[in-house]
Amino acid sequence: MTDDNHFDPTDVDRRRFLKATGLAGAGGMTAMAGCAGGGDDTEEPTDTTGGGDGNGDATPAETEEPGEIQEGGTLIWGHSEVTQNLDIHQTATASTGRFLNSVYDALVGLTSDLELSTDPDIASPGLATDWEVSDDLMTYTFSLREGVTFHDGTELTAEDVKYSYDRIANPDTGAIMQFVFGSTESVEVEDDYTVVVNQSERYQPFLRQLAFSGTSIVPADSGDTIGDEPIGTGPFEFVMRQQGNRAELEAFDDYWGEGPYLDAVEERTVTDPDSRLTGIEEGDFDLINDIPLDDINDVVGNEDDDLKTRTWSPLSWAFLNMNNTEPPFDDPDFRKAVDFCIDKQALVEGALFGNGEPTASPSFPNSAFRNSDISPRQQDFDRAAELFEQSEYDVDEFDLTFKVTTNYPWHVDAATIMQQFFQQAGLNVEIQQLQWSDWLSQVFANQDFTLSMVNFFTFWEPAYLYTSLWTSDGSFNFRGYASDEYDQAVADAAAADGREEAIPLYQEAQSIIHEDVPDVMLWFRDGTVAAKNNVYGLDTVLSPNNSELNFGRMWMDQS
Amino acid sequence: MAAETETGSARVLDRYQRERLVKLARSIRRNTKALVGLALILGLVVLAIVSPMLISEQAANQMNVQDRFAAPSLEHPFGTDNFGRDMFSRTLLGVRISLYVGITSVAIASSVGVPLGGLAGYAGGAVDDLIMRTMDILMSFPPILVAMTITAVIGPTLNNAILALGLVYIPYFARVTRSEAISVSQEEFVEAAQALGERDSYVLFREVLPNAAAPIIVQASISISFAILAAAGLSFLGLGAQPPTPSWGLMLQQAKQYLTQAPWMAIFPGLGIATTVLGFNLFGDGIRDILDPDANTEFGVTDE
Repeated sequence: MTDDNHFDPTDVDRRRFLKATGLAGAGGMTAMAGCAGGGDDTEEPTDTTGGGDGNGDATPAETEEPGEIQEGGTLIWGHSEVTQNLDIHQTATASTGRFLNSVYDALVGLTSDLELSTDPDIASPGLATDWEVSDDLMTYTFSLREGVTFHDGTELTAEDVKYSYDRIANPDTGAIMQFVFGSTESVEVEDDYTVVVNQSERYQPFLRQLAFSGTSIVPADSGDTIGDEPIGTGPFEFVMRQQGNRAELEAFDDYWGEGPYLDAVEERTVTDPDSRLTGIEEGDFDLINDIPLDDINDVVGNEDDDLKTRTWSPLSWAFLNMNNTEPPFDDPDFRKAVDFCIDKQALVEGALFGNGEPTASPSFPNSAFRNSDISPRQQDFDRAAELFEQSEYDVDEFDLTFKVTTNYPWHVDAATIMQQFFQQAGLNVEIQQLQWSDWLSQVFANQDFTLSMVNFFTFWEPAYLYTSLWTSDGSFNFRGYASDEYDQAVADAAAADGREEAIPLYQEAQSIIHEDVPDVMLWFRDGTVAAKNNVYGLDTVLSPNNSELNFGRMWMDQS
Repeated sequence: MAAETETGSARVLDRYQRERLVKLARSIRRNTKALVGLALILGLVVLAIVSPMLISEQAANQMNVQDRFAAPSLEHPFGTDNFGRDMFSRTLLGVRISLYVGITSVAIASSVGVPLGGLAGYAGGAVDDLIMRTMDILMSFPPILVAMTITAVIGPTLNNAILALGLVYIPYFARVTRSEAISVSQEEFVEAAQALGERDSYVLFREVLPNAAAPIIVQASISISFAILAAAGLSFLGLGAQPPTPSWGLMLQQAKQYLTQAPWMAIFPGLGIATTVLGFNLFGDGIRDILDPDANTEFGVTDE
């Protein structure tokens, strides 16, 4: 349709930023476990009326490429994390999203500049060729791409979209993205290639949230089986997975778009960072994500070796979790005092080897929604002492346990450093290392913790980020933060007339949590991938959400 | 035996027994393995006592990120780790933790296993079956696996790891004690005590177990080294000591990430573990050689 995108300086910044950092990507959306990137995103209302704006940036030019693309070959990927639940609607971990991103497509496409688009030639193309949104944001009409085939051979029709969205909206499904359809009254099939979504109330983030990979389209009536046998419309079809060990994807010949070029992708789960690096150096892998932090500078700076790399920022953001529902962290003064104890730059140096930067807001640095008036609190033990004094508890009255997962070894390092800071402030903290699954069940699911830390990936969308993490009934609010003022700001933003009206409200929400300190924001961590020199298309592998990978346009020189 | 020494050391160490101890000591002196093992153990015990006096744990946890991965030098004889902490201080403080883990967990295992085994061997019959079949079941699981499960359930701390290892090694003590108790029970002095109408508990704890001590000592010595290794393994997996405790297993876990740029982070704690395990193994082996039936007469003590 018409694509009357307004010129938006923040978008330009982002584009430039991605180019400067060397990676523009492809993508979808995942959450937990490291989840989401900050909400920048360009969901201007103009997008909602305009489909394929020709943002050419989505397929970045590859200067490295020697001539023709070659087809064939199996790419072996050393993956940093264990994939979990394979049901694309239920899965909450970034690791699974990273793996399934090549299998599924969402309805709404997303460019590497985080703009919504119907263009098939973008980083994360969608299945809609067009959409129309009523002025009151109450009716959305989508036209589907024709000739799209699922991996099971059936053709994509409006029924599949209705089934997928009804399934996500159904509370019994346990879909992570259920909230997206919280204001949806009905999804109707108009004809084979037209779907209409009727809203019961205005929900401004709706359209851009349909670009989340958690809202991907699955075949009708596949709900019982896609957890074991994922079936999507993406460039690769799922073959098998041995959880925690390996998984295989195979090229889908009837893929509707360009590619894939590879015959297959083999995922090997290698959580130990050094084993990944050694593995690719020894030739066991063709591509790895997350180079060990202490080796990044060696590997990235060294053009002589057989590897090429891409780095970008941020991959994820990390924060210190305090259980807001029990002493001593039910007292905001106590929480703020803890914030003053921590030298965030020292953490970035000590635990990340400098591969990141402190941040006070989880929104991406170039996001229009980011509140640039807040900055990380500098370490100040005097202020900390005053605040501890002012709080209703004594600093030395607790022996706190800091639960940290070995899934991210640098979190253990960060906890070790913070423990020293806390000790200097007179706060007794003992570290307890947990396996990832134990961390998820104890801290995330059962809120059985006092202090912890974790990181989130893929939160590029502000409504999702600020709703799920800090609203009192947010799905990722495992710290139990509850603030009416904050809830109101986020609710107002969701009901806003458009993006411009929503921006100040999300910024206000950031100010509120900066003052209330439900969590201490720690850092943005840089992302990296490394590949052998015969692997091409590295600029296309990253999703717009800065975490997920798409192998659809990668290829290997097999000569 | 432990119960023994407290109550009446004069009576326990009568002239006869004192002579046996002297003989044992003499045999140890003649056995190189036992002697070297003993020397290593004593050296480590001295380090364990002295180093905490000279090095505060706070100093050993002192970070200095600018100074990370420094190679061994005069200032840092064992180099520094990824936080710039002095590996020399940390390795030395690790001695105490290692011995504490080994000795405490074996104390737990033996304080339960020895009386159980003694009872099984002395009482025989159904009691024996009940106790020993239970022990057999416990022994059928790999110890490290059971210890991992226990610590995962009760929480990963150093003391929980010790407790778990203590529980895991109980059957080994019970088994050794039982077989020894069976043979000792047939000795004349046991019959004599029974004939005098002593209570069974008296006979078991005062007559049977003290005379079954030697093989138990061997078992203890070897178990200590196993326990130290297992505890290091648990800490390596994040199930034992927690940062920033200067435990060798934990140091190895941290070193693993930096093996190429800072091998000293692994070498020195590794040497510590190796030395300690070697010490207890040599000592245990030596004692066992001394007790070898071919070379011994009564109660396992060489008598020329």
